[in-house]
Amino acid sequence: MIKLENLSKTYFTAEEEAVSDLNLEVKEGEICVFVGPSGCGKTTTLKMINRLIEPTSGKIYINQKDAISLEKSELRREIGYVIQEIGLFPHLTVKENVATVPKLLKWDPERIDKRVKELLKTIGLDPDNHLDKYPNELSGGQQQRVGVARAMAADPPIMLMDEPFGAVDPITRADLQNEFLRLQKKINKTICFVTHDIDEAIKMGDKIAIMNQGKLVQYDTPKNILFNPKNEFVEDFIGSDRGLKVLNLLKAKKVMEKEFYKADRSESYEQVIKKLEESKQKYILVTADKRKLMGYVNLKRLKENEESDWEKHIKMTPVIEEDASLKDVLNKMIENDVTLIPIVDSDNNLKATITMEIIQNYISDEYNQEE
Amino acid sequence: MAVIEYFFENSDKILEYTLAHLYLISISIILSLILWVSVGIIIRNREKTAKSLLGFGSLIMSVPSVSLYGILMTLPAFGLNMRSAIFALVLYSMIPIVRNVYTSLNEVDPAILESAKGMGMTEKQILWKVQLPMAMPVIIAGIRVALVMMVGIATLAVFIGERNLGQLIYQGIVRTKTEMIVTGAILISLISIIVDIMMEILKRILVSPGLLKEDSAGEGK
Ligand SMILES: Nc1ncnc2c1ncn2[C@@H]1O[C@H](COP(=O)(O)OP(=O)(O)O)[C@@H](O)[C@H]1O
Ligand SMILES: [Mg+2]
Repeated sequence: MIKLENLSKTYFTAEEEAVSDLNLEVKEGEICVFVGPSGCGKTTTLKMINRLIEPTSGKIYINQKDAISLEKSELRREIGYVIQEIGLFPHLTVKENVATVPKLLKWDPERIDKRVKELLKTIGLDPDNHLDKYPNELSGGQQQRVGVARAMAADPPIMLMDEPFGAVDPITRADLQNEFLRLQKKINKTICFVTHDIDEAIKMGDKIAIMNQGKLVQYDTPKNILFNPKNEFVEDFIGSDRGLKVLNLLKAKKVMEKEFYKADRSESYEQVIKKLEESKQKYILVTADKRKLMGYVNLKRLKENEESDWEKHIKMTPVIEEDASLKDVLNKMIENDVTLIPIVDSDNNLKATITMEIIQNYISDEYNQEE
Repeated sequence: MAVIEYFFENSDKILEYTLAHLYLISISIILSLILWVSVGIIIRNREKTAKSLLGFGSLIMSVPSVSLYGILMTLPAFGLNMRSAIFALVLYSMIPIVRNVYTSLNEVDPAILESAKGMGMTEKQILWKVQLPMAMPVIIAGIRVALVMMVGIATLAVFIGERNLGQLIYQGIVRTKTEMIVTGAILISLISIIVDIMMEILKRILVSPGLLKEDSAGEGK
């Protein structure tokens, strides 16, 4: 889908090559993550693909076509582009921002309308509330979502994303990453993704391109990068906590438990107590209508307050989705000081649970296998 | 009381002066807008040209208007003529308009320009759909300054034969008739205030609400 051949760039003002003889191929539907220290040439490489920067030498093929042979603005309309600073147009509403490329492509207004609404839903913003807002009325995370929606508006087969989640706080970043991975399963774009964060690279990438000083050092799957680093540079870049890094590769759904004790709020006080005692746990998750997660109740609290309306002791719990990585799960556990997190789907239906203990077992298994 | 009396007794003359005043300003601002906004747009990417042009503009600004009228009067192409007055007003409005157009177009966040380019907008589309709308608050502020200045400087054009509200003040001083001076001063202030209100309305119409909040917080120009 995207093929870089002997690609080099030397800026006029510089002596050293910013990108040096780069060769790699990104297959259709894959996420290729460019990662490396600051100044190693990631952004330069990405901008050569949509010709915001012209290569000094080498070739770029997009669907077997030489990018140089294509008209610049037309090429760019076929390639979604997201940058860290987002660059939303402050004078336009969310709707107008997202509609930018479809308008350039002269879609009819009805089609644009439909597409924008559909996209906002996909990225988790309620169209009715957000269509007519201006960027300065949105949170950082929401702006970043709109930036992604804008890049996807005309359904380009290729997306270039330069540190797209770099400017938001770590919790929002994990959410955005998970949402994006879930979305990618549906839309199957060919994506070049730049980051300087190796954890993000491992989590997001089908392939990782590790760069240093303009050169491609290793191009491989995250697993191979972790377990067969090509040289010392890659090893150092991964860092010493490889075991923790592996957690980025594993999805919660691989280790979650689908069988667990839960209570429904329609049940009586005695039933709940009985379940709690059976489970030998200190607390139990509670659902509404047997499906929707409401929170949890604590055995001690229930016993102290022997009452029939036990529901009022239900407390909120953090939740996670099944596509989250084990690293996300662990982070959330530590942040919230819990050892169990319920897994819900996008409609808040309780699906499964995941515990610290399972993750620990999993890490030790992985280590024993590989070493 | 004398002022009101004077006003009603001479309402025909006053109306004529007011219209002449407004006419001069209208012609001048229209010419200025066409000329200086275009110049600001053309020089937006030419730093050197912009520097020398703005330097020249500041020089003009430092020439007192009476001297400028005087100089123009002696030139065969101008003389005692409305052309001289218009020419002077257009020259004076160069700095506020060109400078504001130039700087505001250049102040657009590079990240916004990059994403516009990255989405496949052409230079022209970026100018019309991104840069100009984003620059609008500052451009309008420049136009407002130019207009208010014009209202004032136009009064001095009476020295080169214009018959406008400046006449009331000038004649009032010569004939020591206070009511004439006061009538003139009040009307000129009134025009300034109306211009100001009109510009505020124009701003509400032309500037996107998405920019207004930022404007009050950040730029304060
Ligand atoms: N416009 C430019 N002009 C000159 N040098 C540049 C320019 N952009 C980037 N560089 C240089 O090229 C190298 C690679 O930069 P970049 O691709 O932005 O790195 P990264 O995105 O990996 O941090 C750096 O040494 C940087 O200083
Ligand atoms: Mg970069």
